[in-house]
Amino acid sequence: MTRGRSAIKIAKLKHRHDDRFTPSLNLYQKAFRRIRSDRPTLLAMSVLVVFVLLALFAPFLSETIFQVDQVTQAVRNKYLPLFSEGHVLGTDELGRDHLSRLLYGGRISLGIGVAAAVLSLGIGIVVGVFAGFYGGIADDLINWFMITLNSIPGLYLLIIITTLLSPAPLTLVLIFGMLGWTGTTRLVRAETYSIKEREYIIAARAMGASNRRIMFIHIVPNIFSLLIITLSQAIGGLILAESALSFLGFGVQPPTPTWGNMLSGGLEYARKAPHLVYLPGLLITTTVFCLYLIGDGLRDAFDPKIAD
Amino acid sequence: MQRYIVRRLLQAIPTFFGITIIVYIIMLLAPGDPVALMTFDPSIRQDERERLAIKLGVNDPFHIQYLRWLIGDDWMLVDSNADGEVDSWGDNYGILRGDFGSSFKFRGSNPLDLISQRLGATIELNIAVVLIGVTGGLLIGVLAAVQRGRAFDKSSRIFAVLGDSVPVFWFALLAIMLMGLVLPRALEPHGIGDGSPFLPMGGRCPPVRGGCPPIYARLHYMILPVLVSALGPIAGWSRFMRASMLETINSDYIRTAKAKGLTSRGVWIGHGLRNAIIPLMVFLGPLMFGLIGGSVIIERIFSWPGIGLLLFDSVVSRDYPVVMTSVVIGSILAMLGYIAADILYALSDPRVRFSGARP
Repeated sequence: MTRGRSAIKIAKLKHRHDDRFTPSLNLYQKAFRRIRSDRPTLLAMSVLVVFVLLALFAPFLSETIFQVDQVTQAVRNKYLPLFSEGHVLGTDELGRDHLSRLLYGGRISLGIGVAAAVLSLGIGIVVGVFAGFYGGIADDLINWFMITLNSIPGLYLLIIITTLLSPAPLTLVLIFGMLGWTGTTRLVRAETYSIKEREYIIAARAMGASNRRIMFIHIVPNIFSLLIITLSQAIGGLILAESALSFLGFGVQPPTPTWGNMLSGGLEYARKAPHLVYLPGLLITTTVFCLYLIGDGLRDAFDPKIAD
Repeated sequence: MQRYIVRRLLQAIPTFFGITIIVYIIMLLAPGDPVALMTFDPSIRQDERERLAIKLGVNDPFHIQYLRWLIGDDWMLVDSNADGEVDSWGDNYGILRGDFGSSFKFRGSNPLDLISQRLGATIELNIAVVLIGVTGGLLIGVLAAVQRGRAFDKSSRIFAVLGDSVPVFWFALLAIMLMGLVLPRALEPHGIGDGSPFLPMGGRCPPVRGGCPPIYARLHYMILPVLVSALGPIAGWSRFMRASMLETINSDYIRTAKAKGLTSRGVWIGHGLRNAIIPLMVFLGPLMFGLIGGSVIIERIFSWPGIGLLLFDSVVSRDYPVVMTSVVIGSILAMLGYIAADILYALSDPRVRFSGARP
C-alpha cells in the first residue's frame, strides 16, 4: 500500500519535472507565464481588482464601516475638506459624503464600462464573423454601414442620441453598445477572412460541420486572445466617453452618482472644494490607465513579436 | 493617381447618403415636434397649427419627408392651404442645394451661415493641434526608438498611455487652475506677475467689436486649448512613431546603410525616419476626424466659438435645424479628412494606388 502510494508520488514528481523541461504549453498558458513576470501589468491588475472590490462592496463599506450614506444632505456640512471628522474624503456641495458617493459612483461607472464593452464586443463578434465568413453583398452592406457610422463624429452622435433617450445607466449601456461595435467588427472580420481559408477549417467542413459550427466553434475561439485585448481597452474608452458625456450634461443625471457626473458637478465648486474635482478625475484616470496598461500587457503576452 | 482620387471621392457618395439617413432618423425621433416648437405662441389657433403641420409635411410617410428634406420640394406640388388637395409648388430647396431650413433660436437665419461663421475657429484650432501633436509625437517617438530600453523610452511609454487615459476636460481644468490660480498666486510674492492669470482662460480673442484680430495678435489665446487637446495626439503619435521606427530600423536597407559607413544620424533621419513616417499617414485621417468630434469638449471648456460649441448650444436649446446641419457638416468634414489622409498615403506609397486597397 505504502509502496504503491510512493510510486505514484514519484511518478507525479517525474511528471512535473518533465513539464518543466519540455514545456508544451498552449497559447494561454504561455501568455499567463509571460504576464506573471510582467510587473506593470500585474500592478495594474491588482489596482483594478481593488477598485472592482470597492465598487462591489460599496453599500457594505460605506454604511457599515464608514457609517455614512450617499444621500443624506446636510446644509451645515457643505464643502468639508478631506479627512474631516466623520467624512474621510469630505463632503460635496449638498453636504453629502464624498467617499460614499465615490464608491457608489464607481459601481455605476465601472458597470457601464464593463456592460457596454461586453455588449459592443458581442455585437462586433457576431457581425464581424458573419461578414468575414460569408462575404459578398452582406459584407459590402455591413462595411458601408460601418463606414457611415464612423464618419459621424462619435461625440456628435452620442450627444444627439442622448437627447432622444433620457440617459439612465441602462440606456447609456445600450447606446454605447449600439455605437461601439464597429471597431471590433472590423478586427474580427479581417481575422475571419484569413482564418476561413486555413486547413483546419477545410478539415472541419470536410467532416460535415455546419457554417454556424465553423464560425463559432472553430473561428471565434481562435481570435479570442485578440478579443480580450480589445475588451480591456474598450472598457477604458467607454469610461472616458461616459465622463465626457457627463461633462457636457448628457450623461447619467444626478443625483445618481457616476465618476463622470461627480467630476463635472465638482467643476462649479472647484475653488471652494478642490477635492471634488481632484478625486473623481484621479479615479477615472487611474482606472483607464490600468485598463490600457493591461491591454498593452496582454498584447505583449499573447504576441511577443510585437513587444519588440 | 487621378483615377485613385476620383474613385475615392465616388466612394464617399453612398457614405454621405448614409449619414443623412441616420441623422434624419435620429432627429425624427427627437422629442417635441417641430409644429409645437414653431407655434409655441398660445394665440395661434388650432387650425393654423394643423395647416402648418401639413405644410411642413410632418404627417407624410418617412421616405417622402426624408426626400423633401434632402432634395427639397420645389419640384413637387404640395398642399399649402391644407384643404386636402395639392395646389402649389413647394418652397424648400433641400440640403443638397444648401437649404437646411432656418434656425429656431436665431429666427430665420440660415444654419449654414451660422456654421460658416464658426468654422474658421474650429479649423484654426484643429490645424494647430495637428501640427503640435504630430511634431511632438514624432520627436518623442523617434527619441524613444533611438534610446530604446533606456529611461527616456520607458517614461515616454508611460506618458503615452497616461495621455490616452486622462479625461480631456479634467486635464483642461487642471491646466486652467494651474495657470489661472495656483501659479500666479504662488509666484506673486516673488515679484513674478501681479497675481492675475498668466494666460487667457478662454475665448478666442479679447471681447472687442468687429471680430477677432488676425491670428498672430491672439496666439496666447491658443496656447492652453491647443496644448490640452494636443496631449492625446502627442501620446498616440509617439507610440506609433516608436513602433514604426523600430520596425524600419531592423530592415535590410538600414543594415546596408550602416554597413557602407553612414553616420548614425544619417541612418536614423535620412533612411529610418523617412520610411517610418509613411505608415503613419493612415492615422492622419482618424486624427483630424477625432479632433472634430472632441472639439465639442475643448470648445465648451475654453468657450472657443467653433462648431462644436454651436452644436452643444443648439442641442441644449433644441434648435434642431442647426443640430442637424452641424452634424451633417461635421461628418462631411470628417469624411474629407479621411479622404485627404488616404490620398496622402497613396501619394507616399505607390503600392496603395495600384492595389486599390489599404494594406
